Amino acid sequence: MHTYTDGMFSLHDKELDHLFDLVRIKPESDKKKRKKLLHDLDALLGYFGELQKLSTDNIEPLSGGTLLESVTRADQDRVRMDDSREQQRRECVGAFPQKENESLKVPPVFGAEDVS
Amino acid sequence: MNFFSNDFSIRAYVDGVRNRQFSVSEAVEAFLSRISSLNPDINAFLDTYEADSLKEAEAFDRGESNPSLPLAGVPVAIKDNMLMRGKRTTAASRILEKYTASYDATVVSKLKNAGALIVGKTNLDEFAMGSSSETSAFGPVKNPLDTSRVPGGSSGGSAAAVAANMVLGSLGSDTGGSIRQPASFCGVVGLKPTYGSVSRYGLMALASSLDQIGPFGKTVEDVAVLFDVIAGKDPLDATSVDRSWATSLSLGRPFERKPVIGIPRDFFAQGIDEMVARSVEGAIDSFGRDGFEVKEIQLPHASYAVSCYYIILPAECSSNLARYDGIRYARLDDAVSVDSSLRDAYLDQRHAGFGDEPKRRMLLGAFVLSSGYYDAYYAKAQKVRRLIFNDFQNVFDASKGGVDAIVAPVTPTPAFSLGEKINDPLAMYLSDIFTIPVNLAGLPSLSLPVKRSWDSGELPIGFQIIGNHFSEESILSLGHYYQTYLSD
Repeated sequence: MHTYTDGMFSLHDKELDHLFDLVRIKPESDKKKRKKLLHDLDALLGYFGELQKLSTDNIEPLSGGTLLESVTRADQDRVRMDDSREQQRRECVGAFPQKENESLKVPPVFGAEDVS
Repeated sequence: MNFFSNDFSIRAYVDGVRNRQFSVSEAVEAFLSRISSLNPDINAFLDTYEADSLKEAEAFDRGESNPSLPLAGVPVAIKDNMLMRGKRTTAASRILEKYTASYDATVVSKLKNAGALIVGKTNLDEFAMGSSSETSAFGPVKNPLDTSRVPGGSSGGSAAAVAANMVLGSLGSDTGGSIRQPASFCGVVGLKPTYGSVSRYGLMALASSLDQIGPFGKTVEDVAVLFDVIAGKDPLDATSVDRSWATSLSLGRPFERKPVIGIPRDFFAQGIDEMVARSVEGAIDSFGRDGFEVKEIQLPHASYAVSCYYIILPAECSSNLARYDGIRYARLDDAVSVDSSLRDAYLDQRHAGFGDEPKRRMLLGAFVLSSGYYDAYYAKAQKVRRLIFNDFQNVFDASKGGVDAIVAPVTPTPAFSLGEKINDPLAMYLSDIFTIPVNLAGLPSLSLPVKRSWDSGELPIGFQIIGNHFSEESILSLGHYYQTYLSD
């Protein structure tokens, strides 16, 4: 757990690895870089502490850019005006770095260590 | 014909094409050659399309395109986070270095349909994350007015390209100031439209509740012409709003009543560079002397905007950037070992593919969204966002004697030196302190230079005109009035 005192944070090493895992990035192994990263994240989280000074009781959260409602369309099969879907599909498939027939080829979902 | 004079606008170009003062081929050739001579130093462009552009220009000259189109034969550039079919689209990131787009962003189709020639893609901060265009995986952009300084960011390449007369107009995207701040640093005009005015279909999402595409130009009029072309409802972006725009036609019309201008006095308090404060005050005074009513306004929660934004943005981007797994968008075709697990492939690809800034923001996003901290950070920030939104609504509320537009500085300082802030994220983030509140409230804002030209050694300074939702026509008219009658 990180500690919070007077707006100053201290993220721990283990927490940093957990965050790397959550965002699916191999954890930084360079000690100097890790130290700098922890320092930067601490400084930012410490700065964000100022929000806690504001009372937000009974304030509705705002998640969008305007008060307008997003519209959704009925789920119909539609073809784009300028481009046949087949052509687009072929171009997307053509962009696959590795493929087998028309499928994107990726490493196995379960690696050897997961199976054992 | 001097294509590269600071006075040579899109309007002048289009008139020249229609009156056959020059051929489009001749013009495009000149612009391409200017790009190739200046770009090695400025690094504004990541890719240019010489052959395509010349082919299109020749077709234009053969009469295969309509000269009455609003952007007839006009060379423009787009930020490399917008998709253009058949062209590499990298977002200035290694993870997309080999990605080729298979469709056009709506703004790209609209530019093409309006007769524009897209001559290349411009450099940016990686995934539009930054305020200096230094986080690009392909090297920093330099400010054409002083190459020891940054052009601003994240749309630094698009701003620099216009400032260096490499193109006549360009598109950028503004999530927290990424059009207005580089416009200010480079001495050009930039518009951040209302959230919903311009389709984001084909724009790589950074923070979906904040991102907007907008134009750069040398004059307010050029920016209005570009905005009219790209704005409007798009069935492919559910957040786009059904309105028709003709802002460029309204420029120069006399005001029915002179707009009332609000000044957020707190923006001029501690921390702002003296020269910036004096220049923006000068612009405000000129409105006052011309008979505009100018009054002070309060935005009591604006000072919390940076904290609020740097919680909301990382949260959204950690989710939006999850799709870049290093596999689907063609990164390292030879480096993915099929002997490793899929999970390991993700970890390796994302580790090697993303630079420090996207990593830092994704980690921060994962933290503020994680169980136990969600309420203290993300939920809190969304409530503060509402307070900031309400501040603006109060200021614009006509029933309470509200103002029609707000005039404010764009940035606390002029363009800073390359390397000055790159190792201090908080200092970098604070350079967007005056632009971020506008994005959180979804408002339109026009950034324009305080004066027409800059002496050698002088750094450009801009100010912004912020309007209520969908008031692009009013703020562009006010900006045009300033440029026509009040600017030195």
